[in-house]
Amino acid sequence: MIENNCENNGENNGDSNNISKNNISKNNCDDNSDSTNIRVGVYVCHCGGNISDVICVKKVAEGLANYPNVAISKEYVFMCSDAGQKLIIEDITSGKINRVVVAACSPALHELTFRKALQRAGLNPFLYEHVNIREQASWVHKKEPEAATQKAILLTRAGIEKIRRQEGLENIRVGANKHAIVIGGGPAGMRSAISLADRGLQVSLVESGNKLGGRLLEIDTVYPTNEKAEDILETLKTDIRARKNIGVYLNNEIANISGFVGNFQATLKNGETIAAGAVVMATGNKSYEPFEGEFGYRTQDNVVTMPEFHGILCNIRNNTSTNKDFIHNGKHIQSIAFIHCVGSRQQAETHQPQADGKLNEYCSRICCSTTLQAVNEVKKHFPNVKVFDVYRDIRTYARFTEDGLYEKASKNGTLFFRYTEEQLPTVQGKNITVKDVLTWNEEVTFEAELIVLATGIVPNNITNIVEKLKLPIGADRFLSEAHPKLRPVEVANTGVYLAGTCQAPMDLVESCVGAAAASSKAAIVLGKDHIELDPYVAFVKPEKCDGCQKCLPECSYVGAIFMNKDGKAEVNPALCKGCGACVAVCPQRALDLKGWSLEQIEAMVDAIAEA
Amino acid sequence: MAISVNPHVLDEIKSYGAFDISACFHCGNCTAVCPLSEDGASFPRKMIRYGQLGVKSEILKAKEPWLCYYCAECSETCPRQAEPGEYMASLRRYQIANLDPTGFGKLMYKHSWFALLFSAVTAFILATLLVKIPYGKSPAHWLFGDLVSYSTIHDVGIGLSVLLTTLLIASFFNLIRRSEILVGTSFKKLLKAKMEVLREIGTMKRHAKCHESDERKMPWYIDPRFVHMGIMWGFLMLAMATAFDFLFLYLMPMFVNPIPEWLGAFGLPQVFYPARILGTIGGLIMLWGVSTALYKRLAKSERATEKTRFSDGWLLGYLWVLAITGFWLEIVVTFANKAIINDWVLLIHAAMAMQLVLFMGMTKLAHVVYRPFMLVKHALRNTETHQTGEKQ
Repeated sequence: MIENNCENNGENNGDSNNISKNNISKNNCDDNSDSTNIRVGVYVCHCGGNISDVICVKKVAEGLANYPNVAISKEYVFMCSDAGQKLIIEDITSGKINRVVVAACSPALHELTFRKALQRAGLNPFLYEHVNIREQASWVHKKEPEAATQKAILLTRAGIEKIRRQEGLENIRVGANKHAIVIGGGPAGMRSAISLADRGLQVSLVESGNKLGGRLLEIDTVYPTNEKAEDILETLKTDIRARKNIGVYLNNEIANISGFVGNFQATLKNGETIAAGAVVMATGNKSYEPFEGEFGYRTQDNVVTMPEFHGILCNIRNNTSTNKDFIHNGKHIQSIAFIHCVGSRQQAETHQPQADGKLNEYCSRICCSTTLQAVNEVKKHFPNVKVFDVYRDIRTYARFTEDGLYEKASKNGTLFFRYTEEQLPTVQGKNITVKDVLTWNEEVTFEAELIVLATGIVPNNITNIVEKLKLPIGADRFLSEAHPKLRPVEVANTGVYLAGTCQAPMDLVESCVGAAAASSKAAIVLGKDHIELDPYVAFVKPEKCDGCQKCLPECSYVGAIFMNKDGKAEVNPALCKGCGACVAVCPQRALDLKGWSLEQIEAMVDAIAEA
Repeated sequence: MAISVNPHVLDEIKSYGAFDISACFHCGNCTAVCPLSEDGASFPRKMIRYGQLGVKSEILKAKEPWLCYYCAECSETCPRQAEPGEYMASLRRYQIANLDPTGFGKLMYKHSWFALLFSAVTAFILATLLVKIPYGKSPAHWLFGDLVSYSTIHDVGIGLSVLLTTLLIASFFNLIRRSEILVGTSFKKLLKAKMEVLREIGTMKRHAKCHESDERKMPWYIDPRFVHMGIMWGFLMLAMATAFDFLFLYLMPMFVNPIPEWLGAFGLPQVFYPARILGTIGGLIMLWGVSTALYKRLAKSERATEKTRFSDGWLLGYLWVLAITGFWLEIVVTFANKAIINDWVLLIHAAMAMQLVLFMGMTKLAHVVYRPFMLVKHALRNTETHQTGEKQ
């Protein structure tokens, strides 16, 4: 049965031609349809004792030596070492083997190491199978060495069965349009655009507002440097103006966007179309809008949000005639209270859910520092104004602000109160009542003429783009990156990168760092003539497809699978992520995955089950 | 009832001492390190919070400031350099000044120039009262005119003391009676608490706890506890001597002659007279205590005296001058010296002694009422919590 199935491999090759239409090329490697030609080299790694202390590696190697198509079966102390890799390379170059199975650690650790070794030996790197007998056998079955050894043999047999049916694969290559769209003209977008332009890419910076700057436009000074926000913006704008390869689109929005890495098409609100190889999402955030009556917001005229307070502060500061007095709505303000965590860290017990039924459970991260920055600005310019700071917790976490901001505030006479999530402060006219942790949980009440809500941040509404590009959204409504450590600022959709606060609450410094990272990643992808993508994608066997279209609704990636003019399903390998959802539903088995074919998986299961 | 915040109160308290409790972030180290802070009397953090919030009513009736002997361990431990020890001292000053009905207390505490001026003016007035105004003579003679007789000064002084002591005892009991802490307290409990406090006043045992862990433990003759005990016991002995004086010289002679005739045979009856012996010993002890304390205050040599204010020195200065002039007069009386300068010394001594008593409510001397009272309050609270603890 095994030998027969192996012969089917050849017929898969014909399907790859359709890719070329989409500016994609794909080469198939040499055909190994003749199973007698298949010579598998099996290498069992000791992992310096991690494996060999439990598993009898010798038994594994010996037990597999006579397995069909196995030409060589060895064990070695560290396969990943230079010497270990050399074993494989020598066996390949001397013609003894043309398939490799290494039974060792997790593929996440060293699969790539060995693929590269194959490449160096002149063999297609996809003719390699990595079997995990460390995490899946020796580590989890420490007390049963015999059974663990048996399991290692079975797992390796499955690996051999898989690689016997493996054809050589080539990475999918797509052309790269050396143009990037940056969506959002705030500091992150501006920073990204400048970095991308400096890499020699054409940049289209799309901003919905009538000027660049985003939320930085609301702020007077920024922590921790105390620079004027407008000065920072002016520098960024000058940098943008100086670069001829940045096109700025103001008062504009993305009406439609589609495509894949290297080849995106965007249509702007004004009808203009932009073709780009990468998309940088710098769509930013907006301030949390308290509901009517939340801490007296909109039911009392002495309650304002932080952005509104910034506006008031800017106004007074620009009006030199009233320099020493804090005058708001014609009134001399003698006392100001700030309430922290408004719209952030919400809990079902004490907070009203948002319009979408969700609670903003996250910490907005910027409000503590922003509030204390504002507190200190007030105290600096209006020393006679009494300032109250009502907090739940304080973290002024940014570098150079941990001590500085709080230290300053406590030295300049700001009076702090601390509430808990169990009982929020209440606002009645000028009166604020806090069940104060610092006063041994007594209720404390005080008067403040102006009450500032340190509102958190929520992502901007970008539903249109999210739907068009099928971007992943987290429970907090921010865009989700693929992996915070292994793939920062990337999303599952290749070619789309996250810059700044569209991804999570962050301060200006972090936004700029994120923007620099996103533009670097985009520039790496667009820096080559072709973009290489993993070859593990679905393909259609047209002769089996009856056009039932059951596969279409299963696909999560727009355009990855579609019906061609012959009425058959067709896969666009550049958009396909190889999830296999379509393969699973096809009643005709006309769909299959490169590198993870149905028959490979069946053979692996058989190899384990037959024993 | 929610606590009302008044941010202006702290600015007011700040004029009574050099501390910065605005910087306090409530870590609680001060309370943790304090050897005297205990259940039912948690300080200094609690008082600091009241100060930050400006809860004047709580601050004015708080006993905590009086349970503190300012060892300054909290000030040394404070990570924010808020000087909690100095803050507690300032609260004592604040309480005295604010509970003084005349209003002079506030002025004397806040402005050293006022304290000096006010002391000088009242001293001059009191001294003038004691000078026999020589009618018929030109005003030039007023200054160098005759003093009233010694016995008159003595009588005035003793009369004043008796009057004020009676008032003091009365107001002390009044304070206790009016205080809410007495509600539900039996006479037995009150008596027990008072005995406890008397023991504490006499021995200052709690104070000993202050320096238990102090690596810089001082020899007894400069140890703050013994120095204070010296001042207090010396003062009390002098007070007792005065009382005996009154008893033996004014009350007893009505019935019997208090000085045995055989004593007169030695020629120096006054020297061996018991009240005088007591007064002399008391005076010497007090002089040692006051001199040591005054030196520490002036040198600002210790953490607790570093932030000494004029109001702290005022009392010590008065006691020191009174002690020195007292001994001067004793020598003068013993040897019956008639030099004119002795009259001046007498005038100064008498005026300052009367000032001390008159200013009692507006100066640091008020602590002789406040501290025992608050200790009683605390002792009562202690027995209560102890009892409820037993019930549970």
